[in-house]
Amino acid sequence: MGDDPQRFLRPPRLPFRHFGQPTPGSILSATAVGKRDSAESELIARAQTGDLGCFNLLVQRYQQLAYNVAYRLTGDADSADDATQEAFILAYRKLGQYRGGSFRAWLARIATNCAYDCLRARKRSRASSIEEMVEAEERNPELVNHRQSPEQQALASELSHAIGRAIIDLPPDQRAVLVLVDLNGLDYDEAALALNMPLGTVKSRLSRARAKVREALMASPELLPGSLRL
Amino acid sequence: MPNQQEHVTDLLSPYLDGQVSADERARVEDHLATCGLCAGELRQMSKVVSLLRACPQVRPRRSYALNRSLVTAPAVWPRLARLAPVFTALAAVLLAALVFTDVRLMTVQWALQPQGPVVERTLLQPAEVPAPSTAEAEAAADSSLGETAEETVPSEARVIATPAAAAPQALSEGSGSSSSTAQPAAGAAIAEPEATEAAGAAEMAADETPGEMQKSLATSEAAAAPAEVGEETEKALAPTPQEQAVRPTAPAAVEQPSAGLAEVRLVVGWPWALRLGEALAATALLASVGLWIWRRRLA
Repeated sequence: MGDDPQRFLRPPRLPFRHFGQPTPGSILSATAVGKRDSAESELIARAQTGDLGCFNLLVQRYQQLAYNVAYRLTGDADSADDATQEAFILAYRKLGQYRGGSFRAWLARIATNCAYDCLRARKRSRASSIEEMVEAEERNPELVNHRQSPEQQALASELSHAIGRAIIDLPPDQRAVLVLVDLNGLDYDEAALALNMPLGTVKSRLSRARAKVREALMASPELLPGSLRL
Repeated sequence: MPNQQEHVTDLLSPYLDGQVSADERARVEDHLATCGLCAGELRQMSKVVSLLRACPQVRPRRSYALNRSLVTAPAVWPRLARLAPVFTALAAVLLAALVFTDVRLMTVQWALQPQGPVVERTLLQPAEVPAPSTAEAEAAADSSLGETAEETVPSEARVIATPAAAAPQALSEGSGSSSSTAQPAAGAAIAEPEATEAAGAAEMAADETPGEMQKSLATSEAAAAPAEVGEETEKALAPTPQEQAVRPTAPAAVEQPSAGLAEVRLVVGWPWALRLGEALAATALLASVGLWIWRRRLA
């Protein structure tokens, strides 16, 4: 269990709690937890009618995804915070344009665009460099605790920093695909939908991104667990 | 061993994720069975993917649940902030135009300062005409001897005196060609009644400042050679036809000082409006720049 990377492959069990003030007659109930897919469709339908409480339930469900996408794309917690908030505001306003399909991919697309907007605004406001982004990344060790031991947490933190550095060094187009697929668990179709690109482009960019990350990690093998030494 | 072109490097990543077709899968597996290089690359790729997916999630700092104030229509200020560059440009242009006008009017006022007020004072209170220095008197005397009446006439000279009236009189009184009165060009260009009046003013000025006039007399070549002055005076009194052609008529000459006065009054009256406009434009410029900065911070 100690060095088993598969323990991280489990999707994070995000809490599904009541939030906000849903309107009377809302579909919120204990059974909604077990029927997440169908419940999500109803939440979206109600949110499209202006039910802010229902939309806040969607926010609660996907805010970690949106925040992680923004955080990995910007490399900065402050920018990720702004981008995430802006993404949900924009999502609520544009919810009428959602025409079905993967809501997660639709939201990831908005979060990606907001993250890019934050990146552009940050570059306008000050000369942003990769070093600054890496330093900002290293200042934000707010990682989710997966019930690890302190040693495992330290290892995960170091590994996260090394991977974060390698991700920040990627070109933006490859970085987005890697962040969506490998770090946030979207499948290829969802990534293609989120990034508005053909499936073949997603495959090729992801392949190149993984190759570059491998080269970057091979430069610092001491950070890698023994079984994962390249 | 397969050559470089047969390697399946590009297919390894989607192969790991099961995102290849059946044909591609068969091709990759056939190749991996014979190519150690690609097999090793697949193992490394698999470890990289495992590492990436093992990377822990970052915990959001807060809840991003929305409230009504966040999702209502944006306030007016953000909308105005979009136009901040336009406001800034307009305010800058307005301020530049006002400052340019102000500076230009100040220049005109400054240029009129030694002459314009003299005109006014000379017309209203002739006794207050300042006596020019000795050097000016010499220059005036020289010009009276050497120049014709066609040359440019100083504004105050038009209303003060003519050599025909002032110079002989000054010579006879022993005060010589006194300062501003010793300018024949002006005298030649003015009507006779006004010249007489101005000559009287010059007399008054000479009476009030006899010391200075005597000093001017002592240094004036005009006083040293009255005969020449007399000749020049006669010459000035008998202008050539060409001179007559270029001379202004008497009414026009009389209108000159009143136009100058109006201009002086205009200059004196405008700066308040100009300064107020400049202050408003500067305030608008600062506000639009602040709006711009706020917009960039907001972005």
